[in-house]
Amino acid sequence: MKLNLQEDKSLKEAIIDITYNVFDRRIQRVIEIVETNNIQLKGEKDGHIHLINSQDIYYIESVDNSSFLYTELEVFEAKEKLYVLENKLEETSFIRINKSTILNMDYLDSVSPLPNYRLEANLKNGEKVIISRHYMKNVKQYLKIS
Amino acid sequence: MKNFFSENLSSMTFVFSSIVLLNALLSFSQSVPWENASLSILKMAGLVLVLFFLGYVGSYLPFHSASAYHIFNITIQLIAGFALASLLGMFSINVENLIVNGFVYILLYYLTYRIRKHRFNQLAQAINEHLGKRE
Repeated sequence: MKLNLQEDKSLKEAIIDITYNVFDRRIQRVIEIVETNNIQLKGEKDGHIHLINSQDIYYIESVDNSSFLYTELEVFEAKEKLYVLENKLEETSFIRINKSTILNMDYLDSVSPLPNYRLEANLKNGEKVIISRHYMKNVKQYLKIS
Repeated sequence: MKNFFSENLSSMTFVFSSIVLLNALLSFSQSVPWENASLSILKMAGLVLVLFFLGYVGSYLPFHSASAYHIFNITIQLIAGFALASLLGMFSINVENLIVNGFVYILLYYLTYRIRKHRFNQLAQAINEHLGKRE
């Protein structure tokens, strides 16, 4: 299997074309990975229900038994509990970073150490969330740091 | 339990080794044989395990500041440590023993804190390097 990558800055979003001679398990696996990243979540804002692409969500936070989906500039309320959303987003770029937050690692810009062995995660839109010490292993596993 | 050991094993090993070494040096320097060394070592291992477990449980509590966390941790561990050591017959409660062992505890606590902080900063650096490579 050969992999060709082509940069085209004129595109609004990436397009994945798969050319195959035999549709086998490897091709199926690649398709599953791409489709997993196209998960959409329902979020409510100003009384309207929106379908939000998981790739547009920076992080999901649970506050007072409600879950909130944070995109670059907006916040939507999801009806589902955090653990339900976490299960839906398993095998994607979302990982649990503390008791009430799931972070999309694609939007993690950098981390800064805080007292008490916590990390402050600096996101690409300037927001900050906390990675607690007990969830540090999730970040290490995702980034394949031993 | 798995998380407890993965987070604390290296620190526990450092503290345990230091305590055993200190006791051996003391015994050697005073030319006093270390009686029941095997039993003493086992008791020390148990004590270290209990104190670190207390610290691990304490890490789940919300504290307003790192200082509050350390003050709480040190207080609980000192009280529990002295109580347990006395119960196990490791030393008798008197002013001299409390001062000496309290000093050793504070020194080891500080050294463990510094080692952990260094490792933690290295982890933050490693994460940032990985994130930088991703760009």
